[in-house]
Amino acid sequence: MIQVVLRGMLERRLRSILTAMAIVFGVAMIAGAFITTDAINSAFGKIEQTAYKGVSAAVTTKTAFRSQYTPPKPFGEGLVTRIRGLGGVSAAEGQLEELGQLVVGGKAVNNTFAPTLVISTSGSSRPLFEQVTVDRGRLPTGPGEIALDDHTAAAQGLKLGDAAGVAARLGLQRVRLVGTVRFGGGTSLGGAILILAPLRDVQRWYGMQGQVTSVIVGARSGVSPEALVSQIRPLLPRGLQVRTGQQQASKETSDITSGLNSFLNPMLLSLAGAALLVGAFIIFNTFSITVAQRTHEFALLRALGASRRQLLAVVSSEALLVGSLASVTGLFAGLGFAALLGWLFDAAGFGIPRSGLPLHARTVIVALAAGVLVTLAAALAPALRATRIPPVAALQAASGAHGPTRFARLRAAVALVAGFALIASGLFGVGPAMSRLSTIGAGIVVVFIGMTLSARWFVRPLAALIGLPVARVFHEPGALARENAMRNPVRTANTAAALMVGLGLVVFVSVFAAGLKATVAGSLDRYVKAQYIVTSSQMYPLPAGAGPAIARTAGVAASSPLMMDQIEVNAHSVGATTDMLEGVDAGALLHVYKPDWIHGSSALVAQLGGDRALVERQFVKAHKLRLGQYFTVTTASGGRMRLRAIGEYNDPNLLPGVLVDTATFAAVSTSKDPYAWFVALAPGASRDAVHAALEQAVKPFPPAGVDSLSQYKQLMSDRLNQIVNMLYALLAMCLVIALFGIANALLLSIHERTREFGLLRAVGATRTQVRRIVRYESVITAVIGGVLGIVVGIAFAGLVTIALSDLGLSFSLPVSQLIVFLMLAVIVGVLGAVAPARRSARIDVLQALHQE
Amino acid sequence: MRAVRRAFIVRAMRTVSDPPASGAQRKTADTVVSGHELVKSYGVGDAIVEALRGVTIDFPRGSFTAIMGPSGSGKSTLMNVLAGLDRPSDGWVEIDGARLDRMSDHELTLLRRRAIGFVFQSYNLLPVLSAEDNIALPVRLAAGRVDRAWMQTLIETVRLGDRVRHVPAELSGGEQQRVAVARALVTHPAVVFADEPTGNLDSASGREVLALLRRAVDEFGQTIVMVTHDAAAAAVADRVLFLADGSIVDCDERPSVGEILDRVKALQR
Ligand SMILES: Nc1ncnc2c1ncn2[C@@H]1O[C@H](COP(=O)(O)OP(=O)(O)OP(=O)(O)O)[C@@H](O)[C@H]1O
Ligand SMILES: [Mg+2]
Repeated sequence: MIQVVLRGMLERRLRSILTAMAIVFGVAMIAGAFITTDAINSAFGKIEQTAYKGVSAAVTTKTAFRSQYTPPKPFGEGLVTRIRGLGGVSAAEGQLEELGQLVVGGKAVNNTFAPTLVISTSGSSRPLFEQVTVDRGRLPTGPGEIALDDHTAAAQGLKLGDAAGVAARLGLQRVRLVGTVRFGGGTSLGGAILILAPLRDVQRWYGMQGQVTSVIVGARSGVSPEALVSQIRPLLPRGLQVRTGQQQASKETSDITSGLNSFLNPMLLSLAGAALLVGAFIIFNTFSITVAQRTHEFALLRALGASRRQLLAVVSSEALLVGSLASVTGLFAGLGFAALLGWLFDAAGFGIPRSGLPLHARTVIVALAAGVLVTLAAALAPALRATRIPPVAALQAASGAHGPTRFARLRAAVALVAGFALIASGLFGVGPAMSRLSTIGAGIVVVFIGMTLSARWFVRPLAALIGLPVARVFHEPGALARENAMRNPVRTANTAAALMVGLGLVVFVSVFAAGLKATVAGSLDRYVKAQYIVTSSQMYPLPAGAGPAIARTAGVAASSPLMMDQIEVNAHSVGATTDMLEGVDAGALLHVYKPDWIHGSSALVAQLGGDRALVERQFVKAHKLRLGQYFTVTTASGGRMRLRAIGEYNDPNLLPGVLVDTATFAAVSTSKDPYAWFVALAPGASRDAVHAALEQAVKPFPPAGVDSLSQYKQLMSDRLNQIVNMLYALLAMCLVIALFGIANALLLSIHERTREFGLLRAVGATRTQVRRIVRYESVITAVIGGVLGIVVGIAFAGLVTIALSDLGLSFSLPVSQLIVFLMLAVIVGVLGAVAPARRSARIDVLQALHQE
Repeated sequence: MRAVRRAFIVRAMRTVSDPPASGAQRKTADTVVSGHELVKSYGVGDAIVEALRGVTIDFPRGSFTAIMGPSGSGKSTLMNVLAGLDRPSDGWVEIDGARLDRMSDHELTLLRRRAIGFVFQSYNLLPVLSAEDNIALPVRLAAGRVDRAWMQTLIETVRLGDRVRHVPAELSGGEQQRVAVARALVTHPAVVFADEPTGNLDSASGREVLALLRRAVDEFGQTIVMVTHDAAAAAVADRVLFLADGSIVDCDERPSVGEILDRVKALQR
């Protein structure tokens, strides 16, 4: 039996390879996802290990919870002196770490999503610890001296002695490069920039004189880190903690990577899952077609005494073979995919440190198992169909198409309803996010299956409709292509399904993103009265020092900063969308913002301050608050305060959570730098003049950019596009796979229609015409997939929009993009037809006509 | 006696195919298809099969020729070579005054489209097209305008009535074959080649198809070349060629069924 399988596959080499390709990509993406996250984890591991090399103990501030919004709470330098006085201590250094920006040649170096870190050094030319190795020059010692990581220095063309600038909280600082350093054991920092400067400078630049945020301590020889830690502990005031260097390193590594892993890995894996799903549809289709084509062969085997089980084995072992070969290939292709992914991240500006391409056993096992199992599962239905072929079929004429079975309609309906129900239950239900997400994922898969099952009923009219212009414009080849696409709706539906899945996800992303953009734009239009918004060109806070400069600018009527921090409310864990604390200048708020009151009026704004807060509607819902009620907020840095809700407004996008005056904000949060300033124009002032004056005013604070409201909308949509484009790039894989699927199905169809093509050629069809017939059929099929994908994608996006309507998410159809996607389907169709068309044109007329 | 007769016929045909210069004018006027010293061999070395061994033959305009002969005698090969579906190993074919051996593959396709009609033994129609559309197919492939009146005539001739709008799967074998004949006629081709057009049909359906071919010759002046195993079918033709071992061994004008059967028996001996 196995010989039958092997011989069959060898005879159909091209087809086997194309079938395998469907799985190769999916497996490559799974492997690539794991390899990438492993590479990132390993890089952070290395970075933190070197950061704490030679460090026996580290003193840091305690945090109430992890938050990316909250900088650590600083403490007095006096502690460093006291620690130095301990018996077991060889060296102790107080450190500050802040966000800043490097300025070269008057221009801020923009590294988009990667941070620029300003890290203090002790001020001695020889490092006390081995955190960094000096590459060239020396460490900064005197005021105005900095060292840079060697990669940045090279990329910016900076030489030792060159002048540069550091944009800090209190403005632009003029500095000189005295050295370059290597960090993290040779790991790429993924676009992050390191600026080393003496502690005194960093304190001055950031207005933190006499303060540090951590102390690293070295032990005398013979003193164990644990012993050192217990010596230090009694010295610590409340809110500080001490760990061994090792502990601190692994704590920081896991803090960073667990955040990444909980987002990046699932995202990459779901995209890989999508690719595998597309592959599964192709496997299913290919095996369905070949089983139908081999009806005679199977019937003959049955007539000769093969059992059903043996037939099942024949088809399944072919699937097993294809699946295994494809999975192994995919595993190695995964290394390439991981490299590609890294390049993609860099290109999109998401600098994430990576280290090598680690291939762990887990990656190998999961990728191989997924590939083989998916192939087997997809081939199961066709394999079972093969076993049901009666032996007498060997004696009858082959009947390619078979009508839908009795329960087909029911099955399709059940799948569609169940799929959407699963998605809805995932979206609207309660429970841990992970399990809800997997419910949604399962729902999406089931919907796609349901669509494919039901497609057989609307593929005919759809093909007729789409084929109409094709037949009109391209005459007979077009008309024949249209008829061919309509002749076996089940097959056309199955072939189109792969593209439907790929394009459906693309459309979902696009429609969802359009909704997000429309939402942000809508909130800005409705609620913001300010004419300008000042934000960082990076997604980091702005130097607080820019505030007075903005306020002083002529023609500015009022301006308010927007401070942000995450909060725990009444000791409940932080809810991502609602639990935010926002600080604004209560005096200026009504000039720049128009609250949408649920309870209260604008008169309340003047009462802000002290413990009085305005609360957003979703926040009220989430915490079941009543007006006038007290609630307790805690920030990550440990600040705690009881606030009273005096009014309720609606704006879940711009100002979610709790709105307080800046003074109240400063009392609970360590965040000193705002994320934005809203600036209102004085009546009668010239827009252009004020815009220019504002730009002049924020010049010493390079990350700050002044945008009009419409520019700001554009900026937000550009940022979103960056993420969306990366998703597109990854989803493009699905489209490529779908392309293979179409090519494969067409090759199979051409194979069984050889005689038809021979006949066509005999009655005068040229090779070009034959090629066109194939190409147009491919395009019609692809456009069917495209149309279905667009419908499904819009439906998914609609569901998600309804689920998130509380957050004010609106629905918007990016019509021009959808047209582009449809064109993309046409292109996929044309490309998918290349090999089949060539093959069809090569058909020999005589041989074709004499073939049985 | 047979040998003498054969020699005579071959000489007679040589005279037709190698006419004196003065006869050239007359030949183009009367001859639609001609094969000159056609040789076709398959395989190489010891395994070589000579399917045609120097066949020279002319087909006058408006004539209905049947080709008979034992299985493997080269009938199909001759037809394929004459129709430009296959290229001869030696010799050449002329259709409507044009030499096929000087044509590119593309030109041959265009020639087929314009000047040649085909009827095969089976599987003659595209399953996705209605009978009507199958008939119009060659015209449409040429992006030409369908001659409504001619189409109407053809549809009436094949006597399908409303069923011209049905797809082939819904038609009987005889009906399908009549559609195939109509399709072969639709472009007013110089010649129609039919390879065992009745081979898969029962005798009644076969008779209808043959009657149709006969009418095409009589009423439309169509030239037809038909390969057949059936003496009754061959008897419908104006002339019957007998092929054996890749050579023409006999040529009868309007023989009776009995004469044909005798000849076939003789050849099988
Ligand atoms: N493609 C080919 N390769 C090799 N030999 C061939 C090929 N086609 C035909 N032949 C040989 O050429 C000879 C003539 O074949 P042809 O098909 O012309 O016979 P035929 O008279 O049409 O027979 P039948 O009545 O069975 O259709 C046969 O011996 C056949 O085996
Ligand atoms: Mg034959």
